[in-house]
Amino acid sequence: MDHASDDRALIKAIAGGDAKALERLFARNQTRVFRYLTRIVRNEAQAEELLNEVFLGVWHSAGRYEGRSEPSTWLISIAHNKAVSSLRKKREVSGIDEEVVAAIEDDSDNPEVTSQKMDKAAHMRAAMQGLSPEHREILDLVYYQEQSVSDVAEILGIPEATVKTRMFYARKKLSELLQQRGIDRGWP
Amino acid sequence: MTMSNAMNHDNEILSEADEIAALLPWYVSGKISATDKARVDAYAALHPEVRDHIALAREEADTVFSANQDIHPSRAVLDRSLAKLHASIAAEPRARLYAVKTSLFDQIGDCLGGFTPRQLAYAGVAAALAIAVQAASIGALVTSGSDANGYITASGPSAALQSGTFALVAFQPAAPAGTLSAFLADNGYTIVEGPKAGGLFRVRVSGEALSEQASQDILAKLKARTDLVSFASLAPSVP
Repeated sequence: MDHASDDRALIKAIAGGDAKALERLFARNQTRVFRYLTRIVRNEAQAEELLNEVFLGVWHSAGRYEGRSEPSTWLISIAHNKAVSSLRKKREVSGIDEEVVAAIEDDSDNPEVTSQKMDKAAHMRAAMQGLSPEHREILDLVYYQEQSVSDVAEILGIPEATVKTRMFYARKKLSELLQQRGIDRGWP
Repeated sequence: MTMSNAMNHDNEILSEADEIAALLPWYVSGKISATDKARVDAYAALHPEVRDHIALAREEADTVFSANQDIHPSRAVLDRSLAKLHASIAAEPRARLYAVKTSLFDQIGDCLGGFTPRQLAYAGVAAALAIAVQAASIGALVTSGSDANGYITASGPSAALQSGTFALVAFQPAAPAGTLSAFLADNGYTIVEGPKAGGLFRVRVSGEALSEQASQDILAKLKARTDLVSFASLAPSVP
């Protein structure tokens, strides 16, 4: 059996109350889910809390998994909902807009000084950190989590056309942030 | 995620060139539909600059991949998370059959095929009884095996047993009582609470709050006894 088939079998067992199957599903997917959560909430302690919540969510909702989507898509969908809820609560408590914070952090040096400090790959990574949570997330879902357009639509709960539009503007914004760092990508 | 400026463009209609640019990440990841791939290839044949744009998408992919690879959840983080997960499940008043993959329960499971729902309900009771038998057996071990700590019940922790280092442990149902008793006594481990749902016991593995490394060493020792222990994870000092 391939990875997805194995995970499907484990989810079915979890739906029947098999705690060992939950442990195995956790062991097989913990790192990937943890990375996804950490990249979204940008805090490892918070990601650890959410990791527990994600698999508790799996335990509760395994009986409702119909197998129409890939197990990885279903898992990340649960993780997305937990992360969104967590970020919403955090914003309500602190009143801080993460996007604004990212933009402030991004302007710490002028382009010339920044260029001297970092190579292109480091610039690219720093620019990605300056993206909004929504734009960072869509890049991660496609490039690291390897989700298709329809999978991303399911995870985010938005139409496929919106997924493509959001991806376009995520990449466009990335080019703008790199431009601010003195790097012209030649697109768009 | 809260609504942000990033989502203001979500409903805009893209030009053909922009739509192709939007598809490139999927083109690079390989998770693109045959229709969209053919569309990108046809457009690229007429617009050579798209090849450069594909290279940009590959750079983005490399960056995202390396940024993710740099996140390494420590063993302690994962163990803590799994222990909390077990504790959360154990604390739930759910009437679910915990189908533990052990010799005894595998035999019960083999008998379940073809049963009617009513028969399955009885089989569930049988499985629960099997867990109860094991719990009673371990409970007897604890009460008869305790000495310096005095009489201990496994139903809940006494005040004297609430500090130290703890683990959540599930024992093999087929574990010989004498061997299990000796293992606990030899290592100074004390069962302070349980059984929780799923047959989990809270075990005090030291009277002191040990360092992370020392705790991990004990956890490794527990896990190494696969003849006695089916699951072990560190647990917080306060359940």
